[in-house]
Amino acid sequence: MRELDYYAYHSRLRRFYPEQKVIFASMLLLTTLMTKSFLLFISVSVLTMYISILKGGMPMKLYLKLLGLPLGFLCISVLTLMVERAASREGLLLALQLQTIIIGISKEGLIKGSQLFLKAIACVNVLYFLCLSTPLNDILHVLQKAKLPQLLIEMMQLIYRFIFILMDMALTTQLAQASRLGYKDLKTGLRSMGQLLSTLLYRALKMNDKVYTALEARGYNGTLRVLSNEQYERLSLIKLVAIEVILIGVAILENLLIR
Amino acid sequence: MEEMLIEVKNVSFDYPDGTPALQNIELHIPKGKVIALLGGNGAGKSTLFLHLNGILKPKEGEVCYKGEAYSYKNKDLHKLRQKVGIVFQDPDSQLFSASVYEDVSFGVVNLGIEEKIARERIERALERTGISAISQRPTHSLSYGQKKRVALAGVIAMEPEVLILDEPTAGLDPEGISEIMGLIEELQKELNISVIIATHDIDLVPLYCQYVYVLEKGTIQLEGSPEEVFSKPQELRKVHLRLPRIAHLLEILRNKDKLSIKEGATTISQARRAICEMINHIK
Repeated sequence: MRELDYYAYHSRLRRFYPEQKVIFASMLLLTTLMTKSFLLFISVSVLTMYISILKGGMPMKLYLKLLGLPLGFLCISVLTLMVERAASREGLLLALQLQTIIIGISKEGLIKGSQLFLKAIACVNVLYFLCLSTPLNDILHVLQKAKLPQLLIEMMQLIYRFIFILMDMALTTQLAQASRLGYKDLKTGLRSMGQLLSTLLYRALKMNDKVYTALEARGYNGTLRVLSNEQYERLSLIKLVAIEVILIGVAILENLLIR
Repeated sequence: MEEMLIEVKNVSFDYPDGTPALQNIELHIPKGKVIALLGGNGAGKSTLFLHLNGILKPKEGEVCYKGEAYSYKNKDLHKLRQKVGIVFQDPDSQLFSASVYEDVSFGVVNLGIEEKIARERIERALERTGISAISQRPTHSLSYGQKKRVALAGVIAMEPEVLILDEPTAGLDPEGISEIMGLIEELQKELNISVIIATHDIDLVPLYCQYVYVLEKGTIQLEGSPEEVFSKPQELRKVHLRLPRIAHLLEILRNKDKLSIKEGATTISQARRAICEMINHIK
């Protein structure tokens, strides 16, 4: 999480308008979700990986590690979708018979499953593109312009800030517990974890009081109004549209070829 | 007579559970002075501070700004909090935004001034506190000392007349301490503001402060110029404080080693002068 945030701030793509990045990512996401084209899914994945790693400056190793995060979950869910119960072994590529029950993977299942797999990976790649080029604060500016309720934006802003503080608190406390053998076995570990969580809650509540007082001291009157000094550069709109058109073209082409 | 900015008159305050936090506090903050508020942990320093900008309302007594008692009406409080700025001890509880610039802008925006002027003030505050270069970085990636500067900038940008600092040096390394104290001294001189520093770092007091209040168990136990206060070591020890190290050394040299060094030196330069004087006298 800290890494994601770090690379978002240090990305070479950070200087571009967050609105453009959000819209571009949404368009990619939309085309990926609405089509069933293998070629499109792969192109989207390759494109976003290319942008994040080569244009953005994200280290390849870390990117692949990040991509690995949802992989386990994805594999299990796709597998359960592909395996189906059939009346006979006919038409199954792979079959397993348990007494009278036949389960296996059919050709359609395989296609559907791998389609879903690639689609999900493409979507994850698109979201990583956004996360790794646009810090949350920039995204909040976009949401503000999109007229999302102020309350929601302020909450996100505070949560974003305090996640890091709470995380640090949790890590230090956990370290202090661990150095006093708080995690020596499962039972002690569970108990320590419980204590950690309850202190964390207590401290978060205390922090809440302090933050409120500090805000009041600077004239807080119900809204967190601030001035921003971010200066952005414009991405070439033509390029973005061209990429989108090519992607849709790819999807149509594949559709025609299969027919 | 010097102009008084804040006067605390006979103020008492109880904690929500009924235990007394402050009792009959008398405090005067003149314009353009640096005042130290000394006190151990739990002496009531923070509670007293929150009275100075009207966040807490005294149970008895009153607080005045330029002779006018606080009304605790929303509109007046708003004005008051521009005049009396507090920099809290823990920067993490003061900085609410992930962006340094936005955090510094918060107080200024709340003043309701024109954007152009607001931006000038923000830039000035960033410059004065030496954090222009890090204003693009996210708050959570800063070091503790940098966060303290950002917290200071957020208050300075509002251009207060009284600047209250709660433990400005706590948690900093020696270099960080002299940097932030130098910065505060510079700001004070440049803007001719009053500064109140709550601290238990006693060695700082004779270097930077012109007047000292010693708070213990919610009452003012001692007050006066640093020389006056530090000439009463017994009373200081009674309230769990001590002399500055230098003054302590001279006290031992005087009392145990019977050297005839004159009293009143509390800083290195004063001690040097006193010792040289003594040596010259012997010669």
